[in-house]
Amino acid sequence: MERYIYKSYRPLLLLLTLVYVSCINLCFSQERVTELDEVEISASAIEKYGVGATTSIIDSTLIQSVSQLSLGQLLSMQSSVYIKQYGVGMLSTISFRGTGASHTSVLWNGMQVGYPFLGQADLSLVSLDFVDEVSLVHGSSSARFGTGAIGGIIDLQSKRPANGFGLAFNQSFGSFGISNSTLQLSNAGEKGFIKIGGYFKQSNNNFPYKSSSGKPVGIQENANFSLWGFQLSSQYQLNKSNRLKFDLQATNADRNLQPSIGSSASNNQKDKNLWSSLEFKHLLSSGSVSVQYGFLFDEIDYEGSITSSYQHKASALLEYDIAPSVSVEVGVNTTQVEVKTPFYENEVGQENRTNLFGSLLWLPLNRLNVSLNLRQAFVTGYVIPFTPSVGVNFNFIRSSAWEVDLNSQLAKGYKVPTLNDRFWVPGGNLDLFPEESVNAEFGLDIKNFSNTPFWINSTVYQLWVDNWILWLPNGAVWSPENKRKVKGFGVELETGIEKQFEGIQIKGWVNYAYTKSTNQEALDEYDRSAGKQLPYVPFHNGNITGQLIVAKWQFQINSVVTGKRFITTDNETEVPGYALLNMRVSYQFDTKNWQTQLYLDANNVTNTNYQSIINRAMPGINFLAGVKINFNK
Amino acid sequence: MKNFKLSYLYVVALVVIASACKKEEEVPRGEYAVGVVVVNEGNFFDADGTFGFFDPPTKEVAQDIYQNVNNETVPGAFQSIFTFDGKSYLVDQAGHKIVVVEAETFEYIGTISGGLSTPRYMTIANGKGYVSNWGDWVESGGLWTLPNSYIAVIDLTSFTVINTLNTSDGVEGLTTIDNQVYAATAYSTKVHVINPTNDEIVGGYDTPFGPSQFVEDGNGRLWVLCSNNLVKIDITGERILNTFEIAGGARSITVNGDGSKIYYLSTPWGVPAEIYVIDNSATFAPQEALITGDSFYGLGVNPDDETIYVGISNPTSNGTIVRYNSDGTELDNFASGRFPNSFEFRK
Repeated sequence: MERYIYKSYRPLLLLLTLVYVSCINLCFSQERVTELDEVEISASAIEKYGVGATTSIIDSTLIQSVSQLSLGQLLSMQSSVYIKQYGVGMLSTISFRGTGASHTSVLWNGMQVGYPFLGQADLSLVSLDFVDEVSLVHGSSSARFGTGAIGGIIDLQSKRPANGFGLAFNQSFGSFGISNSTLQLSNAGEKGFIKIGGYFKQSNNNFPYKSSSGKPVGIQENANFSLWGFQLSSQYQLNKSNRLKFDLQATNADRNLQPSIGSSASNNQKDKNLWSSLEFKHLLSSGSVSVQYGFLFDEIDYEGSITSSYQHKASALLEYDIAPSVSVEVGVNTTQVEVKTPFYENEVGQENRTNLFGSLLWLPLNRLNVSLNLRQAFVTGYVIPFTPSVGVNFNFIRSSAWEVDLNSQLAKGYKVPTLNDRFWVPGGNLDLFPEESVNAEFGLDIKNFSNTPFWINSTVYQLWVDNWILWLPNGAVWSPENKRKVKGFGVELETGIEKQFEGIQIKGWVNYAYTKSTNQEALDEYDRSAGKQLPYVPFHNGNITGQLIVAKWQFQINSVVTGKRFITTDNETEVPGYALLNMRVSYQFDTKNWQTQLYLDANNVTNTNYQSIINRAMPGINFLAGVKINFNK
Repeated sequence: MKNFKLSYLYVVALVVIASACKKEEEVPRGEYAVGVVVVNEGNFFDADGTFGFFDPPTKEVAQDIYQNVNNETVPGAFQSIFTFDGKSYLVDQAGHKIVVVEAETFEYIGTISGGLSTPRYMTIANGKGYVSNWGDWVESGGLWTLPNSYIAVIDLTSFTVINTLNTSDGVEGLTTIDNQVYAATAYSTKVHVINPTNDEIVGGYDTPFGPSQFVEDGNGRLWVLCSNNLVKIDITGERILNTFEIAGGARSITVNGDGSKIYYLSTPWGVPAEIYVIDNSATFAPQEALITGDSFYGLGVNPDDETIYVGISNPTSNGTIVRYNSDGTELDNFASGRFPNSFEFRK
C-alpha cells in the first residue's frame, strides 16, 4: 500500500518541487517583513499554519441571510462541496473532494464534534443560529486537525458580539408548516462578553411530491420534525494577559425520518447533542499558552433503541514566535470516548485517543511562507501512522491593483475506524487499520483591487485514499474491512466580485468543483467498479449567488447546480442532475439602535422535480416569510 | 332467448375458426411471457429494487422492465414476486405494499397497501391472497424478536387486506398445496397449516430452528429449508420423514423440472457460500457442495434444462447473474440490478 501511494504521487511531487524552486528563484530576497504579529489567533487560526492549503471562508452576510437554514443547506448553496440530503431536515452528509461522509471533520471551538460511533456529523442538525463564520479547509489535513480530515474540515466559529447590550430576534413562517424562532441576547465590554441564545424550529414537511416521470403521487408523510437549541458563549478577561472562555451548546432534534417514495413507514429518531468547552489562555510576550477542557454528549434514539456517547477532551497548546520570521506551535490533546449502546458486547465501547503535534511557520524570504505540521496520534488498539504536512505560499504579485498568490501543499490524512466499526455485534472488526490519504495540491489566488474588485481562487489537486473501510457481507453477517482504494483528481474554483455605483451595490459569488474520484480495485471478479466514479460524487457541482442592494432593499438570487450522481459503484444506475433556483427579497429599516428586516424567500422557484438521494422526495416551490430585529446599545 | 341462440352460434363459429387456423390466431403473448424474470431486491434504504428480464436463447437482458413499460420507476425493496392467473404481485417490503402488474407485459394494474407492515412472500388459495409480514422488531434483554408477525389475507378484486392471522415469529415462505396454505416461520420452529376457507391455523409441524422456504418435490413431499436443516414432510400422512443437517445460513431452496432434485443455497458465516443438490429420495445430506463462491444471494433452476442461476450481490453496486450447468460448471454471466434474490422461470 505504501508503495502504491509513493509511486502515484511521485510525478506530482516532482512538479511541485520544481514549482517551489522556481518560485524561490523568482523572488530574490528583499527585506524580511514580519507579518506574524498581525495574525490574531481566532478565525484565522486555521489558516495560519495551513499555508498552501485551500481555505474558504463563507461570507458572514451570506450566513446571516439564510440563518434559518442548517449548515448542510448553507454549504450546498455557498460552497463547492457536495451535500447529500435524505430530505429536508433529514440526515445530510458531505462529500468533500470525492471522499465519504466520515472523511470530513467538523470542528466546534477547535474540537471535533459529531457522533464518534458513526464517525460523522449530521449537518442538518448544525443550526446556523449560533454560527457566525464557517470556514472550510479543503483536502487532507490530519497533521493539523487529527482523525477524519481526509477530504477536508468544516470549522464553525462564533464571534465576539458588538460592545454594549444586544438583542437579536428572528421569526419566520413558511410552506408545509415551517416555523423558525430565534432569540439571542448579548452583552460585551472591556472585561469580556456573554451571549445566550435559543431557537425552536419545526416543519410538518408534508409537501406534495411527484414520481420519477413527474406524475403527482401524493403528499409526503411521516417526515415532520422539530429542533430546539440553546447556546451560551462567554469570555472573561481576568487581566491583561489572562482570559477565560466558556462555550456551551445544547441541541435537540425530534424527527420522523422521511421514508423512500411510495413508503409510508414511520420511523422516529431523536438526537441530543450537548457540547461544552472551557478554555484558559495566557498571553506571553511573544506567544501564548492555552489549555482547554471539553465535554461532549451525543445521543441517537432510533425507535427507542438508544446509543449515547460521552467524550472528555483535554488539550494544552503553546504558541511561540521564536524569531520575527519563525513561529511554532506545539501541543498535546487527549480524548476519552465512551459509547453506550445495546449493539455492543456488554453494551459499552471505549477508546482513548492522544495526539502530539507541532506546527512551524517560517518566512524564509519576503512574500514566501512555508509551513510544516507534524502529528503522532496514539489510539487504543491501533498504530496510527506519523502524519506530516508541508505547505508553501508565495505572494507572486503585490501591487495596488493586484495580488497574486501561488499555493501548494502536500499533506497526509487519516481516519481511525469508528467505534461501530470495531465493536458492533455482530460483525465488528477489531483488526481494522486506519483509513489513510495523501493529498497534493496547487493553487492560484488572484485578487483585484480596482473599483470593481474581484477575487478568484483556483486549485487543482490529487488525492489518494487507501484502506477505505467498507461494510461487506461475510456470509449472512456484514463486517467492516479495509477494502477500498481511491484516486481522486479535481479542480475547485471560487470567485467573488463587487460593484458599487450611485447607491447601488452588486455582489456576486461563484463556486464550482469538478471531482473525479475513482475506485482503483474491484472487490471480486464480478464487481464492475474498477476505474469507475464513486457513488454520490457528482463530476460537476456548483452554485452562483447574486446580491443587489438598493437603498433599503436587498435582492438575492441563488442557483445550485448538481450533476448526475451514480447510485452504484459500477456506474450503471444514476440519479439525474438538477438545477435549483432560490430567491430572496428583504427590506430593512433602521431607527437609532434598532434594525428591522422583513424578508421573503422563494425556494425552488422553477418547481423542479429532483432527488438528492435516490427515491427521497424533495419539495417543489416553497416560501418563507419573516422578520428579523436587531437591537444594540 | 333469441339473443342467447345468436351468441351461442357466435361462440361456436369462433371456436371453429380458432381451431381451423390455430397457429395464426393465437392471442399475442406479452414481451415478458417467456424467459427469466430476475428479482433485484434493491437496497432497502434506497428502495431501488428492479425486475430484470433475461431471454435464454438470445441472452438479451432488460434491467428494469417495469420502467420500460410504465415509463417510470417503481420504488421498492422487493423481497419476492408471485405470479398467478395472469397477474404478477411484486412484494415490496420497504414500501409496505404489493404492486400488481399484468404478468406478461408488466403493465401496472394497481397497488395493495394498508394493512401490510413488512410484506415478504405471497401465495394464493381459495381465491384469496396470503402475504407474510414480519411486523416490527422488538428488543428485550438484548434479544431481538418478531412477536408481531402475521399473515395478511387479501381480496384480489378490491386489492384490500380483509383479514389477518397471527403467526409464530418471522413468518416467511408460503405455499399452497391441495388448498391448504403452508407458512414457515423463520424466527421460530413452526410450520403452520392454514385452512383458507375460514383462515384459521388448523395444524402444523415442529421443525428445527428457522424454517424459511418450501418446495414440493415430484412425489408430493414438502421440503422445508431451516437455518441449519432440511426437513422432508409427508403432508398426506402428516409426518416428518427426514431431517437433514446442512451448512448454516440457509437462504434459498428450489427444485428441478420433474421435482427429482432439490437445490439449496447456504451462506455460512465467514466462508464462501455453497449450493448443494440432493436427490428427492436421499437419506443422507450431500457432503460436497456443487458450487461454491462469494456473495451468493439468490438461487434459481430453470425447469426446462436445469441450468442453475445464481444471483451474486455486491454491497455497493449492482449484482451479477452467473449461470451454471447442472453439473456445476460455469456457463456465462450477465449484469443484474442490486441484490438479485430470486428468479421466476416463465414459459
